[in-house]
Amino acid sequence: MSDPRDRPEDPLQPDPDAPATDEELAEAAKLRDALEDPSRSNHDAELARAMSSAWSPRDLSAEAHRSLVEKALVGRDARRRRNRVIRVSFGASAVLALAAAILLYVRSDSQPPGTVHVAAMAVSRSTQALFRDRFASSGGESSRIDRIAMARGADLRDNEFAKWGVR
Amino acid sequence: MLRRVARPSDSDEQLERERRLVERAHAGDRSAVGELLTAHGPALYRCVLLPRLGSEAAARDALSEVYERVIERFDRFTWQNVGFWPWLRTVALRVALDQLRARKRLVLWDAEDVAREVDATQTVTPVDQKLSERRERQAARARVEEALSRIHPRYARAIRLRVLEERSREEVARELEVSPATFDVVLHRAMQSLRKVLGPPGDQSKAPPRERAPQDAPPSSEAPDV
Repeated sequence: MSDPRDRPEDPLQPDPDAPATDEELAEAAKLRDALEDPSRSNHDAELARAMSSAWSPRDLSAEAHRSLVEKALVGRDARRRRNRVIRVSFGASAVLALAAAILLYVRSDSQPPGTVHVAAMAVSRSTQALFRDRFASSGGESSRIDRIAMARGADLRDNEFAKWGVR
Repeated sequence: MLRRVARPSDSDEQLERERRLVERAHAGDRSAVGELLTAHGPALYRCVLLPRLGSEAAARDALSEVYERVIERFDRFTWQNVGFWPWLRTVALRVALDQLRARKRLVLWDAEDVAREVDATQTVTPVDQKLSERRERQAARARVEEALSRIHPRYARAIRLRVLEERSREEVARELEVSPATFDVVLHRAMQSLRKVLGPPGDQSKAPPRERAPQDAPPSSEAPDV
């Protein structure tokens, strides 16, 4: 293979030693600084380091490598523990949910559907029981309405309490 | 063409020792996995990950990811008398491929190059770590030379002296017979020129197709699903 340095120069390529523009001077200074100080971010310096890494890659320090191995091994144990905790929690929750479902089913199955609450509820009925005495053909309507409203209000409260299961 | 059949370059005992480690690791022995990683990890970092990813931080992250995958999927590895290295290298190539696909930074390898290498692991006869290391190093250097051959010789020389040989700025400036300030500009232009021939990350038109480097790899039956 011929040495590329012996090739004639490509006329399309710019002259490497042509006078620099201000922008080039600024960029060149940035590259110089980034090559001296790797903490400075610079695309060209990164590419230069990539070239260097391919040409003569450096070893990872024994200590850094040991810590990576340990991290991986410990990480596996931690992941296993975490997975075990998740599986146990999930299993316990599933068992509890199943038990609750069975209990509900058994309780609801022990009585005919609807009978528990219906029996405890006040049902629609005549207002006749509220008025044992005959009342006058005129007057007293408000007091009668009040009596009915109070009785039905009490029924409504009882029914609500029965539904909430607090009676 | 006959390729070199994978045999441990050191000794059969070494291969046998590795086989026992793999057996213990399969049985759940954590320290055996640690020993396998300790034996091969440094070479994996130096020869596979660092040249392809181009930065020490990225290579370290990748090695960590490789170890996680290896530990997670060790039960998929089947011993086939070629040692642990070929499988480990394939895992590393896949991790490198993932990283290259995700990144925007320009390095000498792009994702497609590494994808081809991963494909090659399915067909090429595996070799042991030492031979693999030598081939990896040759392939990496050839890649650098190939890139330098495509830029102006003066630029290539500036990069060679300052970046590859790591000589001081002043020394290189003297060698090129310019002032240090002028050398800064030459090096900047050299890197710009190199960037142009390498093309943006992921650009398939940036380089002529390269000859596939002979690489070590597990045979297809052993190719890890990683």
